[in-house]
Amino acid sequence: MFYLIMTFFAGICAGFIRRRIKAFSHVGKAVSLTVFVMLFFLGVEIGSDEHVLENLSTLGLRAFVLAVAGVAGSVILSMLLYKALFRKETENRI
Amino acid sequence: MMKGTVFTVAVFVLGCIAGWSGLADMEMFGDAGRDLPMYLLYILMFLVGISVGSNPDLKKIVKSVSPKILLLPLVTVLGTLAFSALAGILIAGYGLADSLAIGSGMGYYSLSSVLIGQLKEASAGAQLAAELGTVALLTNIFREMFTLVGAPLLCRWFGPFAPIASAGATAFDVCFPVIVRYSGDRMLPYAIVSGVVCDMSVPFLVSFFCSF
Repeated sequence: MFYLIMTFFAGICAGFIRRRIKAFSHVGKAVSLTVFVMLFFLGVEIGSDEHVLENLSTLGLRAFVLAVAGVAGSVILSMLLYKALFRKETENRI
Repeated sequence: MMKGTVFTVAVFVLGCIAGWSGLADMEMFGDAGRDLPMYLLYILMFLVGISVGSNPDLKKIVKSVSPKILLLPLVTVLGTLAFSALAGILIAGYGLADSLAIGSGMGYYSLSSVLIGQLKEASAGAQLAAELGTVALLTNIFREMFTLVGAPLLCRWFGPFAPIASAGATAFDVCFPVIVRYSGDRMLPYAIVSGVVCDMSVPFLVSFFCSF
């Protein structure tokens, strides 16, 4: 994990120092390409794994619950934050 | 839904079909094939870093960050993690670290799913790793969909920060247009800062929670 995060940092530094290089404006495409290759392999692993395939509907349901939970938690806290610190400030500006 | 998400799901399903039918397996590249996903992971992290670092607006964004504005991404991450932990343990039956790893995808489904699928393999075995990767993919795709569809209601019921919090890492990405539309122009800096900070937190948090 440590080396992975260091790699991420090295990327940020390289990107920042050399940010005027034109090729870096295409780096988003390279990220997508790498992600797609890895997603394909993740798919291959899941497709050849009968245990996961049999439980796909269960996994979908779990994912749904986790997504609702993540949205609910962040939304509730953001509402409290807005009411506590930001409401006056942003509404006065209108 | 957006073209990008459809394409992502299509690639994933194609991989599933290839694996299921036996057309492709991880051994087909020989010894190098077994380590290939790991190399790809490092390349991916480096590339994501470059895209963050070379963002032409990075200086402007960093300058516009006041400590107060950072509270929004902070509570977004904390709220997501707290509720993901609860739901993951109580309903899905996963351990604390696994639930947190899935939650810390923050809507960035492509990166979080491949990170979890790869990083968990050593500690949890290939089967659980693949399962967690799949759940992370679906969870974070659902999150993006909820935000896109629910932005007007979220904004009306829970205030203008709600769609930004719900969008997580996609606040300055796929969900940006709906946020600007329903929360209003004055929420623009909040959406940008929150989106960028959540986006950057994904590689850290996911690899951190996968290390347990």
